[in-house]
Amino acid sequence: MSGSQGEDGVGGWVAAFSGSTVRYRRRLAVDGVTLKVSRGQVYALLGRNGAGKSSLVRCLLGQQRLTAGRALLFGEDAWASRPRAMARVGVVPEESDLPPDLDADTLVAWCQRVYPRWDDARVRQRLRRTGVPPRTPVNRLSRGQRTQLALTLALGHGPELLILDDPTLGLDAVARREVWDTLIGELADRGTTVFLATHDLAGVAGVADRVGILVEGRLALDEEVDALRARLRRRAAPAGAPWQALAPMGILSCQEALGGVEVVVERFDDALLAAVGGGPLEVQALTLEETFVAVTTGQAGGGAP
Amino acid sequence: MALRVQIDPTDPAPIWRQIEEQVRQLVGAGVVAPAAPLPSVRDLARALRVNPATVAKAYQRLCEQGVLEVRRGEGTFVAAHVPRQDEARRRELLAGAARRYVAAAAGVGASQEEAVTSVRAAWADGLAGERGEG
Amino acid sequence: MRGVGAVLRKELSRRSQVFLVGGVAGVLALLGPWVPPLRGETANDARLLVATALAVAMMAGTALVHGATSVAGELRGRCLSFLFSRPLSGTAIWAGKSLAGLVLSLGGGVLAMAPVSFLAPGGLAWVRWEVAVWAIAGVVAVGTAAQLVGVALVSRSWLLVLDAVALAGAVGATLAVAASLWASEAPVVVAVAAVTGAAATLVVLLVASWAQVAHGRCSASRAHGAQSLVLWAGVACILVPLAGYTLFLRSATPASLRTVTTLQPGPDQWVVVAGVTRGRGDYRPAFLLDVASGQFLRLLPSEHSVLDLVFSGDGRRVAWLAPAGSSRQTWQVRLALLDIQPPEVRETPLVFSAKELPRRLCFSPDGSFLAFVEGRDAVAYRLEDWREVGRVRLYTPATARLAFSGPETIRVEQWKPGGGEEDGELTIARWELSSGRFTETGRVAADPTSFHLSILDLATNRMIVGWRTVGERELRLCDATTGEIRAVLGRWPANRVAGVLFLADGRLVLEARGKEGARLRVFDPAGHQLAELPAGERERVIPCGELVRGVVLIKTVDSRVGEGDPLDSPSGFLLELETGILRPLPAGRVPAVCGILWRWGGDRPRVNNLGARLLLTPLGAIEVLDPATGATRPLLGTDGQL
Repeated sequence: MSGSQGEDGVGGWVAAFSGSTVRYRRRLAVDGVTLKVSRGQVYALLGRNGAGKSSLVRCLLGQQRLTAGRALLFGEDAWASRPRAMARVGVVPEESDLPPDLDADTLVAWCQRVYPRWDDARVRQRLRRTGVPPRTPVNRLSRGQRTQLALTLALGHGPELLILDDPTLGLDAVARREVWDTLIGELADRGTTVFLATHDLAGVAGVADRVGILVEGRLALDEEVDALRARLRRRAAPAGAPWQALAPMGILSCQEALGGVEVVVERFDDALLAAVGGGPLEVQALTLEETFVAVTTGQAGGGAP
Repeated sequence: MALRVQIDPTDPAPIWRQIEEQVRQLVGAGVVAPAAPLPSVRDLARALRVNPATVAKAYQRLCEQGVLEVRRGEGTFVAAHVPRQDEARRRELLAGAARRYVAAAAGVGASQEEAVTSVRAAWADGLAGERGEG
Repeated sequence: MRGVGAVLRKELSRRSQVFLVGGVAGVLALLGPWVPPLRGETANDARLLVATALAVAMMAGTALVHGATSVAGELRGRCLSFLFSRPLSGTAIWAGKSLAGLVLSLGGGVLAMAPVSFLAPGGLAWVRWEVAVWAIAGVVAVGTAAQLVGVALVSRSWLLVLDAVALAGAVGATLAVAASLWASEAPVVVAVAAVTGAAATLVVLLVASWAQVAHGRCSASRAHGAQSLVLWAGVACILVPLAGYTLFLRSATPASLRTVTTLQPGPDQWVVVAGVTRGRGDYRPAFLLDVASGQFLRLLPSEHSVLDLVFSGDGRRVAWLAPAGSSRQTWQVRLALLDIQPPEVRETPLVFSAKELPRRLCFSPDGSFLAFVEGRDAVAYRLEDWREVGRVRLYTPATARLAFSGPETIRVEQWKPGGGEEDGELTIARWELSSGRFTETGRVAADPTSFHLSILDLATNRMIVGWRTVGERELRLCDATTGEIRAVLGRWPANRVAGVLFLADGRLVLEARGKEGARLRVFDPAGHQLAELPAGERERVIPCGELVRGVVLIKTVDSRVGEGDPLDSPSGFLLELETGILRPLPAGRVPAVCGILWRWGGDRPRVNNLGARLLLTPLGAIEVLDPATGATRPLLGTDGQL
């Protein structure tokens, strides 16, 4: 990989894995993952439960040690440089790790002392807007309020990189929407780099610049969203149409649909389509959800480096 | 101010292009008047639940084409004099829409006459509705 | 430091209720006088007692709970990542949490003590630095141990099995080392080892808890691995040197003796020695040593136990009192018996309470009976089957002396008090073990204030008894059976028995002090003075033994001169009685058995026996004198080699 040059990560990328492997006793949770998160990018790491997303996130946070390979934050080893790196990173974990018996006010005041830079006014305003009660202990907050509090605290010191581990997990639609709203607002204001693992495909679809899909610990796909949409296409054809002619584009699946067949191709090409020609046919992009299903069920992939 | 822009996840075009096209059409069709203010990047991104960078990219392209203009400190506005749409581009859009319609019509087993008749009827209704709204 | 403060603040704000509980405990302590079991105490004492109990309970409980939950609880609740995803170093997180435990525990304790301390007069007496040191050490030990155990339990990994095995091993090794050290009867060594071991263990606990947090970070199994590695490696680093030192301690040989402090010569070539060795502190190993061959046997842990050791008349057996195995708590001693040829120590079934420790052990001439004073009685045992063969009640056990005058006959000498404080007589009795008959055979007037009442020469049935007249002491030669006075040997102004030695041919020599130097008087067996020989320039002369017939070993000392004077240190001579020739021993040497090593108890050595040939050097070493050539050979101690 050419990217292994320029590891200062200043202008280029802020987080990277190279050959990262995590093993728990016999089980291989993460298997040789290599990926990079560029500055300003929103990188969505997708995967089924147990695919190794959280392990990767914890390794990037320097809370867990890789069995093999490297995890780099701002160009330095994530395990070794953790305390320094954490001053530039905001974190929302999968499960709330906020001290259960402290309230929002106490936590905000505490964080203010821990971080050299802290935008207190903005944090308090954000908490008011999202309706997090300031004097209620964390263990009596709703799940959504807890996530909002964690996200707000993670943004308080103006981090260069946000690392979110399934922030919308277990939230209802409204709470989910609020989380994405806050995140989009932050992106609009500061252009923060985001590395997030998520199951919320609908929510992340418009937000992510780049997507990585983990399947059983391996990175099955790592691609720009726009490129992905250009590449993976679905074409509906009437029954009997010569869909086999699409074979050069790499047919992923071919299913009988109502009144015809539905062909999904892997490497869509306008010129090839024109050459094949034929009838009033429609071509659609795959949604992120469809892409995810296709990749995780082993039909598509190959985007990974 | 809301903007009637909708993202179609199945549209092969990138999201920024979808936004760009739809804004251009809204401006071109006069739905958004010249010199009218547009929602901020942040608000539109929130409304569409997309990355603000995507909206910003669409706005920037439209600015470069003279469709929109940015007034420093005030926001993004439709240009006072929107340049006419490029004729070739217009035809291309029309042909694309027609192809999608034909595919749909073929899907329900309509003949060409039936399809053309339906287009005429819809055209009459649609324009009447648009005028009625106006 | 800012990080430590932040973690400390967070931990304290989570558990601030501890201070409240401490305050409430402090107020409750004021109710001390109403606690039923404390009704007997003064109100002040009762309050202080209750407050102290509550404070200790507060401190221990808080240390335990905070230790067990501050890391393990957060690992279990997956909350530790809250701290680890902040710009806080692992060390700061560990230090903050540990400090919080200390502050909470001590704070709770101080608050529990505070009201009583300020209200009661003298209530602040506990505010001392030792109390602070102990409290901190205790809280740190309890808290850290709880923290390690908590994480080990939370991780639930196979390491727990390893921990259990290592713990069992460490406890076993510690007990073994402690038992071995304790049995060495060297309080300073034990204390130093205990304090060093405890302090090192505390350090290891702290380092293990640091490794657990700083290296384990958010993973319980990683934390467990880190702590186990540090803990057991650290414990090994403590135990191995300690065990090594204990082995070194117990491996002392007669050759390692630097200074001999106890010497008990047997009749021929065996001698019991004990003393100081290099690098072993106050441990005083004791050995039975064959002077001729250098063969030796480790006798007992230390010197203290051999003080009452006694050889049988034929030199084949040795008896002494040894700590009775594991039952040290009740402080019991067991009679130990050693057969010298071949050397074999036997533990006898005779166990005694230390309160009534047997004294005045004596063997029958062939070593088949052993008699001693136990409690208020004199008892005799047959060693063949450990049967008690006789027991008689004594008037004054402290003054009693037992000596076998025949194979089964014991001569018992004791003070029989009269009406007044210094009235009474020395009585002599004959105790026949076969019949159990105890008959008084004689009595003699004696001076009960003198250190020892009599000096006995059983072979010739004579004894010397001191008698005090106004300002003077008179020495009388008496019949050892009837007490009948045969002669008056002389008078001395000092309140001391002068040096006396019975010679093999029945003559006896006696010290005579004089301003122009000491002199030695020689008497015939009936008590008539034969000669008075000059014995050097010093004030006093002590006859120590008869090297060959007619040649007496003497030690001369001077109490008139100050320290540093050439006459200050004692010096030894060989005095030839027939010619009066005085030959000095090699520089600084004195006879060992009447020097500082000599103890009252047994009879003095006979002609040319081992005791008469041992010399003590000024540095505390022992040398053997060759009677034929007068040359000396190093035996033990700094200058000696085996």
